[in-house]
Amino acid sequence: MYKKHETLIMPFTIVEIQIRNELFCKATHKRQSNARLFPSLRRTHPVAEADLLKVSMECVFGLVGNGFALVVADTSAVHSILVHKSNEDKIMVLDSHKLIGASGESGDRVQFTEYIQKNVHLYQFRNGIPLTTAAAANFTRGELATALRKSPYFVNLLLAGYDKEIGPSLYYIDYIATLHKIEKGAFGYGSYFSLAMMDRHYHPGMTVDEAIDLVDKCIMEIRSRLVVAPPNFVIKIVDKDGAREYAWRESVKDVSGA
Amino acid sequence: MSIFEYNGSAVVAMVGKNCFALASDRRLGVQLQTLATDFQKIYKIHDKLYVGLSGLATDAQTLYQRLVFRHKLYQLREERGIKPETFASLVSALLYEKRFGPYFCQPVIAGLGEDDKPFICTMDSIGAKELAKDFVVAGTASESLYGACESMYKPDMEPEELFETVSQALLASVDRDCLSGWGGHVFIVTPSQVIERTLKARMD
Amino acid sequence: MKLDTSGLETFAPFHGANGDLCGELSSVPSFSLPKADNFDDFQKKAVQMVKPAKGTTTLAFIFKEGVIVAADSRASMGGYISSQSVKKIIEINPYMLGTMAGGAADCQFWHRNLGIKCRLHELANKRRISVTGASKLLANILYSYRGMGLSVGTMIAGWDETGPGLYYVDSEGGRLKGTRFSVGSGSPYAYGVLDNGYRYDMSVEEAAELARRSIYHATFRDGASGGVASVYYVGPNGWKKLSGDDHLSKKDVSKKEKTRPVRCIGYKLLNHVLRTEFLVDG
Repeated sequence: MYKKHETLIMPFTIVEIQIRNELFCKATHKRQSNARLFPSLRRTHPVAEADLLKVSMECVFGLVGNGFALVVADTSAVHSILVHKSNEDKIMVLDSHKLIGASGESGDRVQFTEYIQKNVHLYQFRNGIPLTTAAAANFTRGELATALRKSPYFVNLLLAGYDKEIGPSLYYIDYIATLHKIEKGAFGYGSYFSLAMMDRHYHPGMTVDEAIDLVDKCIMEIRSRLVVAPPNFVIKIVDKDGAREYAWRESVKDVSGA
Repeated sequence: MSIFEYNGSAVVAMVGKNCFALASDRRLGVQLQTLATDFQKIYKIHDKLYVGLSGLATDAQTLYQRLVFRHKLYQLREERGIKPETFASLVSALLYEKRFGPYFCQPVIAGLGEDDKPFICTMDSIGAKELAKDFVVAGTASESLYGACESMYKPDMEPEELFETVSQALLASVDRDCLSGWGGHVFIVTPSQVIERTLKARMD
Repeated sequence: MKLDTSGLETFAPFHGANGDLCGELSSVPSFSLPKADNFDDFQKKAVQMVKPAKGTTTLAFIFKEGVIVAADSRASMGGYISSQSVKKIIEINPYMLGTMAGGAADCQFWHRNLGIKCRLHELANKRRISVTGASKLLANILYSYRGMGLSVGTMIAGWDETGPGLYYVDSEGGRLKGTRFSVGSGSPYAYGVLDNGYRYDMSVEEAAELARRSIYHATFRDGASGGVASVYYVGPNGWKKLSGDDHLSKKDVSKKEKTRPVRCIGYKLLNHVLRTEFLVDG
């Protein structure tokens, strides 16, 4: 809340506040996980506890270009100070023309995106036609919103897709289930660097080459300015020919050998 | 920071002569980070009834979906659109249903009722109705909106003057709020027409 | 513990204990301590009181022609914008500038204090103080108050005998020499634009435009930054204010509306309307 008696206060760094909040988040999230198993443990409303800045160290961002949409994600699997794996693919190919880039708690991330993927497939099997990107995004939001009042998934999603009639589209869905159609967007600490970069250089109707050039600029900026910058990134694209992996941007080899 | 201030919003409704205006800002943010500047906060229920949802965006979206669903059922049963007064009670009931785990959302309801009499009202996140004859405000800029509306409002304005007033009030208020602004969205509803306009505003 | 309360008196460096000007220069003004039972606890709460609010974007960089310093002009208290016309670039002397992020009172006071010290140095030594020296003076003061709840994040930029100089100094006692810094909640956004557009051999105009753009993009994304982007250039002949132009004129709203009289109801908003749709009720 405001400090009404202070006239002009402008702490010069946000990082400290966020890290403090994140630590706090860890604690509350642990309680939430317990609450998932033992509902009686839950003392406060899960969304009331979301009154925190949940910024993850992961970097996921994406944009829409001329006839395609792309999603970029870091590939680090991190636990406190330890990097378990540096080639973890966080962008799932949802179906032939959809990509879902996810960041968040690793268990939630995998469980939730797989759940969405299977249901999107199920719809296609039952009805013989795939969901549109908008429909998939709304379905995903619905599932997240339902979970939010029970045991929330901590996953932030960028959903990119290509529909014949509509063309490429990109949807922003955060862990509290806010859905919005965007042209460019980002999650995590990387967003502080990539968003302004994209605002400056993005224009509608970018070619693939221009977009990849912009993506590389963002990755460079994240690598050079973010303390906890992940070393490797994966870029995936979806256009009329389908969703596919486009390239990797690796600066270290993975240690796990997986 | 309160959870009502997580995404940032400013919503205002004002009554004129046989018409009303409902206006909102267009920002979607996560605390101080601006994510988008084309976010819809005013939703149409039917031709003469609109609802502005301020507060947490996810709950606004959920609430809107539930309201549309309930209104469709109402239309099927009654074979007519809902009256604003009745709709306000419906919203209130839906909100109070979640008394102990509320939607973090403050709605503003504005509509033309019987004989095209304007009706505006707002309520808190658990459904306490607050009716007004002149204007109602909601969102992170509500304090400045109160001031602006208080000084600019006069009774029985014609649609164009009402548009002017509500827009000036909105733009002046969001200029004093970090969490809302980045554009405006105004609906002027009269018995014969609906005017929808998008406002340019400061982008900082 | 004997408390030095000389800080409560006006700063009059000429009657120091031994009349030694230099001794007075390096001394630090001191303040009365609060009468609290548990000083550490009180201090912790005081720090909390100053810390949680947010919001500023400042940047500075060295290039071929000198130094560019730029900042936004918004002051906020929580979500409320308390001013859109704050001067966040402080003119220490004709050759040196300081930027302001953190507590406004802390920044203003200690920059003014630094200005005094720099002037005294000039009088005593018949030459201007170097940027290195000035920033060190400030850093030493801030270091001596470490843990007391000061909140300062500043850049000292200027031109001295060695050419352009730029230092980052903060209240945790840090002092960094560099060629490119940005400080404040909007700084990551500013860096995004700045890093990419920076070249050493820019002209003054290009450099000012880059600074302005960086601030502009930071104010777009960061809710706590905004207002006017003021840009200063420091060259061999001292600093010059290049612009304090409004963001409105930059991109989204035409210059005409810069002076929009918001409280005048008769004023027509037509220029603000982007899109109009008429839906006639059937």
